Amino acid sequence: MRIIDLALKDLRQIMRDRKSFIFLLAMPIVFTLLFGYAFGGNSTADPRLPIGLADEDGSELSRQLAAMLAASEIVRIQVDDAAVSVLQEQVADEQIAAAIVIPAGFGEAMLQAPSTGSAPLPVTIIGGGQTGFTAEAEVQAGAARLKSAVQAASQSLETTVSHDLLPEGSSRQAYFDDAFAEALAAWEQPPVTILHDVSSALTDEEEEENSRYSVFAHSSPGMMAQFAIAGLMGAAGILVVEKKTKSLQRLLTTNMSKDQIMAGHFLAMFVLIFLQLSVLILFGQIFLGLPYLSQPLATMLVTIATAFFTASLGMLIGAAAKSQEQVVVLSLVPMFVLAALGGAWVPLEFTPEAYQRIASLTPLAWVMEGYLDILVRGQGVVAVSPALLALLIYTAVLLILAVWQFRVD
Amino acid sequence: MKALDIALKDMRQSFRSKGAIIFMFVIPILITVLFYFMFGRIAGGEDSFEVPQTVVALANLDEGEVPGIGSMGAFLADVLRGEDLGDLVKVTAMSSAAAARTAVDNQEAGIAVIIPAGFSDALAGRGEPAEVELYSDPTLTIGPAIVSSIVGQIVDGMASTTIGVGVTIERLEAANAEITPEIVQEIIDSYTVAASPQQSSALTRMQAPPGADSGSGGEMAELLAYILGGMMVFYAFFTGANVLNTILTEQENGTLQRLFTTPTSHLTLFSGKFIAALIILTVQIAVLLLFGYLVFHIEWGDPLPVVIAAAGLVIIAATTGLFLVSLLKDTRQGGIIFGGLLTLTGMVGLFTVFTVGSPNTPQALDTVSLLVPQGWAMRPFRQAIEGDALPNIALTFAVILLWSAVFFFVGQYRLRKRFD
Repeated sequence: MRIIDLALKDLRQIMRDRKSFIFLLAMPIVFTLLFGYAFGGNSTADPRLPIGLADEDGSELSRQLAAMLAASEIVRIQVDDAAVSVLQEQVADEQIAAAIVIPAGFGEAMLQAPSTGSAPLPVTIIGGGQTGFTAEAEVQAGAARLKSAVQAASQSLETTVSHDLLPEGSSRQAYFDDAFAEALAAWEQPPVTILHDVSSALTDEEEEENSRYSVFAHSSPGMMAQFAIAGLMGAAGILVVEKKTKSLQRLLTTNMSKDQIMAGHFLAMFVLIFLQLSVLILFGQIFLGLPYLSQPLATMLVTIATAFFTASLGMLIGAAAKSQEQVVVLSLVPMFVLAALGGAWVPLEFTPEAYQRIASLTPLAWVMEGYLDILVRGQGVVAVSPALLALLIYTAVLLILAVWQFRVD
Repeated sequence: MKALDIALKDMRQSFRSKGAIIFMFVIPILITVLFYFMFGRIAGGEDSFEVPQTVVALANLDEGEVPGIGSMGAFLADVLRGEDLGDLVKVTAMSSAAAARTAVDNQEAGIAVIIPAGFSDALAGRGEPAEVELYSDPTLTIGPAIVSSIVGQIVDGMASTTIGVGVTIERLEAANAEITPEIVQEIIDSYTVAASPQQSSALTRMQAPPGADSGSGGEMAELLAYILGGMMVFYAFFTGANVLNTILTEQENGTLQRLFTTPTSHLTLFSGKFIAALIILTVQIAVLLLFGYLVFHIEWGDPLPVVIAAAGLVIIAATTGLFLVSLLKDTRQGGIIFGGLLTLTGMVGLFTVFTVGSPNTPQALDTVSLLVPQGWAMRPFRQAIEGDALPNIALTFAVILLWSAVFFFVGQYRLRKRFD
């Protein structure tokens, strides 16, 4: 009971300070929204890459290519008919991901290529990185289909002429045009297509669609994990104040043992972090449409494990710090380092393999893995159990260190 | 002179404090190093982004063959396993579609490529159209996108031959020609030649956007410039606040009251503390700028704009610290205010740093970052890195001075009111 009394005392102390209470909830919500909107937000409306298009050719073929890009599911033409210099500036200013420039003579060169053996004029993609690669792949696919249709028409004409089968009264150009149109139409229903599907156990179609495209699916757990550690500034600060004001020493003269005192403070931190995470999960579920509650048991277990780990870190910080300034340092340094390493800001997929191997050993990487298993893969308790085990191991290690530091003090 | 003595005393205290040194130098450098490893190669120092190798669970269920060519499913599988793609793709053969999907579900593979039973038949113009299924891990983007692009290009290439041959034969049939096996083979051969590497040519070419290779040491150096610049700004505000927080510390320790009993005026005392903040911040920023230049080869920009940006940061960080300290009652409040408020405003102000390179970032977020002093403090550094015109940088500096003036006057007014 004394443990609970001590925990309740700590919680009352923290809740009374409205500023820290606001920061516990306001900061992760604000940054979840900001990071989410910064990287595209909930882009279910149009998740396609914004590009600019400059058609310097104006031929039938270039218009066909532009039409293919307009119908693309990967890119969307945000700027049309602007000068190349304008598009270059917009790419440099990151207003569009890439600019597509169809050069003058594109159509003519492509039509001449089968008969003359000359190379078609390449379409220029102004951009870089992954977005440039994505835009290039889409343009490549469209241009390749056009080239294929030209090739089909040319080969058909050549074969027909070589066997003297060109219909009476039909010109070569008319025959070519008909064959080209036929080949292009055949691409509407090609013999082989690609079906894209994702691994997801989410049963509600809307949940799956929302979660797949929602950048909040990454920023929400990332910011929750990061600011759970930031929230330790208040909780760990109580331990420091206790030491400085000698309240801890006075507590030790009572019947409470050191372990009971530690347990009381740990319980307060755990409850505080658990409540913080729970409120943020509800916020994510209700306002961001994230399917945290599609697997309620798994979500609860990951949240409990995260709260355990964070509370144990808080105990170590509180035990080790000698002043408020040190509490701030010892809270913010792990917050930034663990968030960066754990993929809370940038998905680990974008980092080198060696970095991923190191990062996967850090606790926040396991927190992210657990929540992403639920939010994006729609998986349950079995899938998150490695994350639960890892977090409990971290909890045990940190608690042992905290107890040792406490006893030393 | 007394103000200077007080300043020197505070400086000695700051540079002796491990916590202060960690905040001023260690953390900004550490975060920058983390980002360097996040976005670059760990060994080798190459200035390029490393594309991850994707594990592909491949299930080839193709049963048919295209006459004269063989199994197209086996052909596709061989291309994916080829040496050319070895750096990008690692193929694991699966016996069934279910096994391939399970490998992705269990995160043993990033994507499953399932070649259907009627793949060759569809390409031979027999039977129904076929679908190659790409089943990917939804938490991955790059690897599946690369594999999808590769498979798409190969499949499209195969389909183009089928379509071309089909169109030619249909038009010959329409002309009442006799379609003999020799004619069919002749047509297929002509498409095979057309599709051969000797006949293929690039349909696209990449061009870097302007400014991409502007002598900043490459993309990595430019990214690090933003990151280290952002961290420098972020922690400069902590430094300013911590140095001026000594006013409250001394009040709680009683040394402030003792100082007040001496002939030293309050103005001299607070001036000394403010001068200490200015000098410490100047040292911090100078060291970080130099470190970035020497170690990460960061080109901060022309000297004058960089000096203006640095001066702006020194002034606004110190005056913000003064303002915040004037709002606090004791050092305990300082822990939450400095840790919480400065973290919040710092991250809002540095959003433009976190979103560098993202094409979907709304422009409005740039405006949001300017609602806090950190956003303005970062702005001239960005302008200097990007080589913006001096009048624009001067204008930003003028706004920074305005913010600083407001903070300074409010801060010193409140402190004088409290202690006079």
